[in-house]
Amino acid sequence: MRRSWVLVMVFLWVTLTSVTAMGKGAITFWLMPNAPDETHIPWLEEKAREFETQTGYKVNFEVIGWGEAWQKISVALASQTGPDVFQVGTTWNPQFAATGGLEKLDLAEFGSAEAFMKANYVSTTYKGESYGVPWFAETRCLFYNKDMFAKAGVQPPATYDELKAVGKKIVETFGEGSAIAIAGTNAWDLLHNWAIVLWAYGGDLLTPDNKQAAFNGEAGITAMKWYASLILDGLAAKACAEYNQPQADAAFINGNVAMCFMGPWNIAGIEQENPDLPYDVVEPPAGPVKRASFSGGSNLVILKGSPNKDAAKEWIKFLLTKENLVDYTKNLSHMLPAKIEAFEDPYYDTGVWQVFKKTLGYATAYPPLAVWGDIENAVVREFRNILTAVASGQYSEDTVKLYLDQAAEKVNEALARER
Amino acid sequence: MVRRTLRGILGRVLFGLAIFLVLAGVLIPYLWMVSGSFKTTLEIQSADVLKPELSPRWFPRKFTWENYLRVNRTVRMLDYFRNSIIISVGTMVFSVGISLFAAYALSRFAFSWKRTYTLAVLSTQMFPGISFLIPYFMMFVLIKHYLGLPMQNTYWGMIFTYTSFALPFSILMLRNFLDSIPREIDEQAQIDGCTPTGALFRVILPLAKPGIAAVGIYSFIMAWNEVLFATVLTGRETKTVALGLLEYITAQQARWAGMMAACILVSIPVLVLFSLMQRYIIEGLVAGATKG
Amino acid sequence: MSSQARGRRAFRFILPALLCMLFVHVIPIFWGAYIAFIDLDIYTITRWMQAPFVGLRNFFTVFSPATDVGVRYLRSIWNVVYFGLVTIPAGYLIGLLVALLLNRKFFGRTLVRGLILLPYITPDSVAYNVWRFIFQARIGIVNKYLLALGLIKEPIIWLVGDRAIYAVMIASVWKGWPFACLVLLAGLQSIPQELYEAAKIDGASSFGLFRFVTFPMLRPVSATLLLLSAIWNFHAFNQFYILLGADPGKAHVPSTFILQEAFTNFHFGQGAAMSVFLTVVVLLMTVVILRVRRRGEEW
Repeated sequence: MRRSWVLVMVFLWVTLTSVTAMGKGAITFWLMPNAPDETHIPWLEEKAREFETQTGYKVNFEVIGWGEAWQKISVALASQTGPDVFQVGTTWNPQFAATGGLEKLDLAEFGSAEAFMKANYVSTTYKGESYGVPWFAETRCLFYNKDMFAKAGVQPPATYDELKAVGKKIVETFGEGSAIAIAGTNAWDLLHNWAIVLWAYGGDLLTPDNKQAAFNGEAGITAMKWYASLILDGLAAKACAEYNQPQADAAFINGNVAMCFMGPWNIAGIEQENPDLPYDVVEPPAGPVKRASFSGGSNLVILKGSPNKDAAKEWIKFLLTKENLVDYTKNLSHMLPAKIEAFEDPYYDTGVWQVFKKTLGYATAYPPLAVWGDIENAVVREFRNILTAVASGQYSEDTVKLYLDQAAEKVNEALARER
Repeated sequence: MVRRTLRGILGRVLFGLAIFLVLAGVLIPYLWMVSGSFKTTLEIQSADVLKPELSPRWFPRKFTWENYLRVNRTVRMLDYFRNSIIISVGTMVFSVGISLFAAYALSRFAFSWKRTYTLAVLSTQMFPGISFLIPYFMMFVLIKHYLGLPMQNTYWGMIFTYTSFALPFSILMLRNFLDSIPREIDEQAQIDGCTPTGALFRVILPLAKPGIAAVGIYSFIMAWNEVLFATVLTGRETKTVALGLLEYITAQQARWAGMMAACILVSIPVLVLFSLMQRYIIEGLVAGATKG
Repeated sequence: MSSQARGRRAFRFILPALLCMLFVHVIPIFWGAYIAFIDLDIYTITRWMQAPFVGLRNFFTVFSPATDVGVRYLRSIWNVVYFGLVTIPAGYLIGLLVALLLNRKFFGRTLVRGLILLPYITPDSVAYNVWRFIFQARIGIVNKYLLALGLIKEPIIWLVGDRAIYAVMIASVWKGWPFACLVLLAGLQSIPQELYEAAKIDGASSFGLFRFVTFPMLRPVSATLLLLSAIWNFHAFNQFYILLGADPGKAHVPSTFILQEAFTNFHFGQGAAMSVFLTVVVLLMTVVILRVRRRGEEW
């Protein structure tokens, strides 16, 4: 009896471990649904084949929804298994680097640090070292409905004050809530929407040394009041207070609302949902201090525990060749390349892309901190409280300061943990 | 006399009404699910409760089979079905095997730590999964690191996990079942020269078939339905249907129609298995909640 | 056979089950208790064997109303308690009423009994996804009928913010009452008919029958059922995760919150501390339930 047990155990052991020995010469690539599956998957399959004939390495790719990506990546980091190379959002990169689970990279291998858009390069860094390679970039600009503007007799606003004046004219013509669609409590990217106003008013999220919260100062309060006033003054619908970003986008894309801050990826949405929409894009308005925009996008990173780092690096280089990068950003993801040489493609001097390219030139990234996730969560939570107060009619003059101070306290609590 | 019949009729009408209300409350979500599964995505997306002409309807404006025929198109539902079947069947087999031995020992042998063990089994059923998810996940990492045996995102890792989840209930239920089989039967077998193991396989096993089937189906359903551990421990190769359903709704797109069709497909195996062994599982569950 | 030999023989039979229990429950729970005392976070996660020991700090953090995590954890505990206080009695009452209805003989009883079991046997993932569809603000039927009845003027956003927990409660009661009904029905059917007849001879009204026969006879079953539900209430995860997503915001319960804090925000140490508290609570409740059950003397 005892011997049979041992035999069973040995048998199990052998069968289980032998399966794991497979898979040399292949890398696993995780990426997000940057384009609709119908075009995305065939493109990836084709490129993987091309890469295999060039280098002999097989690429197994897996498209992971943004919703579950963070958790899957954190599990991969903790266990050091899963993908060899994967896509991360720019704001995620420093946090994942802080875990020690990402491979340190020398950008000289992929061109040089200067070969990439500045803000995207910064997003790959943590304590001065690079842990990723910028892949594509995005920034939000002001989309407006040309017909509605013409009927209301207004021009695209150049400043945030003008935006409100323009909005009031539009409301006079089209009714309450028709001027602008904004993201509300349900938007995970709520902070991105407000940060650009904050910067334009001369404020900043943190002090220059990244040690203290700074967004609850004068500029922050004015910027937040400006955001809340869009709803309070009826420029944006009350329902906006609870919107997520796609809901806000949809209101604009359906043609119900005259303005919306959106990104290049929305252009595909417009072409699909409402190709007749008469829209155009301008840079985000300027504040009293400057014009500011948010730099987002995605980077490619390598898992430290990957047994195939060389193949992983080759794959990144392959994706970043000018031809592949332009093809991917132009025809699939509708984002902007993060590598500067790709902008030589004449496509980026046409129409709206010109505007995005210009805006991206001064776009700002968030500080590359390990505790950034906690910081963003804390600010967004209090931001939500402000919007809830607005929606439920409990907003008063002190609301903004109250909640921003609370947020600052929590941000400082988080910053104290940064090492 | 007349008053009494009147009261009787009134009572019956009220009774019928009450039963009707109960059934309506139970069935409405199912009707909505079925109706949704035959609608087009466009119809659901453009619905708007504020506009009478677009208000969501019970009968699809345009009836379509698309959602069923293309269930694998946006979400890899068929892969998830395969994963779920492998994991659930594996769980079923192991849980039945292991619990049968344990239950037999509890039912037939007298030993000093019987009560302690029964209590321990009972209490493992009480711990919420979250209270050991974190260290359990670390254990998987550790096993991979030191023994080279991948556990996370593997079938056997999931089968092992779910088997252990199913065991407490399976053991207690099978023990109750075996208790109901007269002892004299296996005592006779042992007198005839069987070892306890032999008695278990030759005599008890055939008699315990209904109990075993009920335990097996319980384990299958448990593995089919689990969500919490699956969110952390499964990956592309092992994702189960319970998680797959969530993929129909993303930040960009809400494919409710496809999801409803998939919901129906996911329910079918569970409903079929359950109705097969309904009596035994219910008895076991009721006993679990009243006796232990 | 000596008692030692008997113990060894039993041990051989139980060994596989024991191993499973050891690896899935015992070791992780003690290990979890250990993790709760170390500083396992974003910096140490890949080198967690070297994470520093921090004593009770994680516990202070997660229970302090002065920290962000603390506030949200305490709220999640309150949420799950509140959730239980509403759903358990509601499920019990509906279950009891329907059980009383079904305890009569009538045409089609078997069919009705089978149908009311549907919510209970439907997989959680299916049932709650359907409810999520039903609760959608613009395309769901809840708002459709509330609007039609004139109870609301604008569509209510159910699944976000303060109302979210009520939506989850409704869906959970719908899913949970059939089980209570099943158990109570079994309890009802085990009441000897003679008791009713004796009471009738004594001239009891139908309410009297319920008050003096049915209810007292159901007490032991009800007590175990309610206590078990109270324990399982702390398992609440699926309904919140599926209906509200990975971040239920104000409607977090401990399971969703710990999952998020650990696997999204990398606060594994604090997550473990929160889990330990939950384990202790459940353990205490189990002791209570065993005491209550002792009267039945099953083992």
